[in-house]
Amino acid sequence: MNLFPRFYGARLLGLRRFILIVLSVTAGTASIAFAIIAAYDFHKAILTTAAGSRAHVVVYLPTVRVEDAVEARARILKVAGVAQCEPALRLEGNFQIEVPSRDGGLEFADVMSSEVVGYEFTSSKRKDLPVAFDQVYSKLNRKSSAEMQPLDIMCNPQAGDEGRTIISDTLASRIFRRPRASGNNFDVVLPRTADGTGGQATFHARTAGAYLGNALRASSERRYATYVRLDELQKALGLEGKVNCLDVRLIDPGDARAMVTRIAGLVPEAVKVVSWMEPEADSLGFLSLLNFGVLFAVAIVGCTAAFSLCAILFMVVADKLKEIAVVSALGATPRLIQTMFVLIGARIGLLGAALGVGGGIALSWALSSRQAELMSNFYNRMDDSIEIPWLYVSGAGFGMTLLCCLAALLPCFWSLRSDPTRMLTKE
Amino acid sequence: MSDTIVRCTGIGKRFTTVSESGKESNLTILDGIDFSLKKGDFTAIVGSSGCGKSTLLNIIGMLDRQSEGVLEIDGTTIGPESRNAEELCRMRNQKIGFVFQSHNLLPEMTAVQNIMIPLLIRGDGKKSAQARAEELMAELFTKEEMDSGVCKRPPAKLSGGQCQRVSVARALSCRPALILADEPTGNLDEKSSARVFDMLREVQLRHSLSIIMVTHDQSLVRKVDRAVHLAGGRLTEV
Repeated sequence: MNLFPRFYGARLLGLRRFILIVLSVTAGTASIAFAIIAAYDFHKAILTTAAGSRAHVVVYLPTVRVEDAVEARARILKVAGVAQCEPALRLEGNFQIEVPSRDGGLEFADVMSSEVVGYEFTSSKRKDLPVAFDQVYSKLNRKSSAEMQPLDIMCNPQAGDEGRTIISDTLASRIFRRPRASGNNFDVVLPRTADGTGGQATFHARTAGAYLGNALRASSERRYATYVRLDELQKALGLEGKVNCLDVRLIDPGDARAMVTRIAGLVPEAVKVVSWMEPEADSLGFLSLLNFGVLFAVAIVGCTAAFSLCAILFMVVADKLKEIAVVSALGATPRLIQTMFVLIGARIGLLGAALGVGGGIALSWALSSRQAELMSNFYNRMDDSIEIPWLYVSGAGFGMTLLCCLAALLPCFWSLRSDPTRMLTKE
Repeated sequence: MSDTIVRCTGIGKRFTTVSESGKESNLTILDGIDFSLKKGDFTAIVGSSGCGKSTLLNIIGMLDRQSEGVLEIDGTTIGPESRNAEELCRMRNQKIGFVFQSHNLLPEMTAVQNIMIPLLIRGDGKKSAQARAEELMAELFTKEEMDSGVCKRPPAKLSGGQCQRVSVARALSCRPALILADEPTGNLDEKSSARVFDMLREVQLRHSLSIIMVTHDQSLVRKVDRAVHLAGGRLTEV
C-alpha cells in the first residue's frame, strides 16, 4: 500500500488544527450519543414505571373457577415473549389517596376516585387523615365486592419522617388489618434519608396469586413489598376459588400492543384482551412525540457537525491548495490525494466518534448518578443505572465517521479542480 | 535509442479572454514552439516577464496542457488530449524533477520528510525513502550543516539557500532524467544564487541530468550549455 496518503495526511492539517477538528467532532458525537442514550433510557424507564407492577396484558375472563382458566393459561404461556401468566382477580378503575405536605407536615388529604366509586375527600388537617381513611373504607364497604377498586396510597416524600410514621402507624396498621377494603394495590413511597441510606418503602398489595403471602418482604435495601394472597382476596370478595382474568407479564412491556393481537388469537372472540398501554395511550403518544423531537434534534446536531466539519476542512484546504498543487506536481495522482483526504476524514471521524461516544456515555452516567438528587421530589424514583443502546450509539459513531469521510471528500474534489499552475505561483 | 529527452513540435497555448463589453478574443502565449533538449544538456530559457516561459515549462512538466502540438518526453508522446491525469502524474513523478522559484517545500514537514515525499508517492517504503533522502542531504549539504541537525528542521527554520537546496534534493529524489527549474535563484541573493546554480550544475554533471531552467539572470545564461529566448510566443537561440 502506498504510504504517501498516510504520511502526508497525518501532517497536512497540523496538530493544533487536527485537535480542534477532532474536538468539534467529539462534541457533536457526544451530543448525539447522549441524546440517544437519554431518549432510550428515559423511554425505557418511563415505560417500566408506567407498566409498573401491573400486568402487561390482561385477559378478562368471565368469573370462573381457577381450574377453568388453566387451559387458556397454558396456551398463552407458549407465546414467545410471555414471562408469566397467572389467574387473578382484577378490579377495574383506580382509587387514590394522596397525602402531600407543606412545611414538613401533612396539611390535607385528598381522596380521589374513579367515576365508579365517585368519592372525594379533602381536609387540610392532619388529624382528619384517619377520618379520611375510615370514610373511604366505609364507602368502599358499601359497594358490592365486584365493585371493589384497587387502592393506591401515595405519601409525598416531603412528608419526611412524619410520612414514614403514617406508613407504619396509620396505613400499615389500619389497611393491612382490612384486606377486604385494601383492594389490590398499595404504593407508598418515602424519600431517602438525609444520609442517603434507605428511605424508600413500597407496599404492594396485589390480587395476583403468583405473589407470595401476606408477609412483609424485602426486595432491596430500600424497597419492601407485601402482597395479599389470591385466596385471601377471593375470600374477602366472596369469590372463593374463582378468578376473573389472566395477568400476563411480558419480557418486554413495550411489546404489549403486539402481544394483545397474538394473545387475542388464542382465546375466544368474546374475551377482552387489554394491554397496559391502552389506558396510557395519551402519555405514550406524548412520549413518542418527545422521542421524535429528540431524534429530530439529533439529526440537526449531526447535520450541524457535518456542516461545521465541511466548513473547517474547506478553510483548511483553501489554505493548503498550494501544497496540494506541489504534491500534485511531484506526481501525486488524484486517487492518492482522494485517499489522503478520506484517511484524514476517517482519522478525524474515528477518533472524534470514539471520544464522542465515550463522552456521551460518561455524560449519561454523570446525569444518572445525580438522578437521586435531581428527582428528590418525585414520588417514584427510577433505577440509578443506565442502559446503553449499543446498536444505536455505535451506529451514531459509525455515521459520524462516514460523515467525516464524506465531508473530507468535498474539499478534496474542490482542490483537485483548481489549476495547479496557478496555485504554484501563489504567494 | 534517441538521445533527445524533450521534443516539442508545434506547441501552442491559447487562452480565451472576455473583454468588459463581453467580446471574446484569443490570447496566444505560445505559437508553434519547436524545441528539443538532448540528454545531459543544461538549457536556459530567457525572456521578458509574461512572455510564457513558465507556461512552456509547465507544459513540458505536464502540469499544463498545450492547445496544440505534440510533446515528447523520453520517448513518450503527449498530445493536447492524450493520456489521463493518473498516467501524467506517474510520468511526472518518475521522469521529471521540479525546482520552483519559491522552493515550495511543505511547511509541516522537516527537510528530510520533504525529500521523502516523491519517493513515497512512487510507492517506496518509509525506510528506503528516508535513507535516500538522507543520502541526498549529505550530498548537497556540508558536514557542519548536517551536524547542526538541518535534516530535522522544518522549512521555516532553514535559510532561503538551504530551502532551495532541499528543493533540489527533492527534485533529484526519484532519479529523474529531466529537471525543470523555474527561476530557482529568483528569490536568492547573489551569493546564494551562485551557490544554488553551481550545485545544480554539479548534480547535472554528476548524474548526467538534463535541465531546463527559466531565468532572468543574464550571468547564469553564460554558464549553461545552451540558452533560448522566448518572445512573441516563439523561441530563438541566444
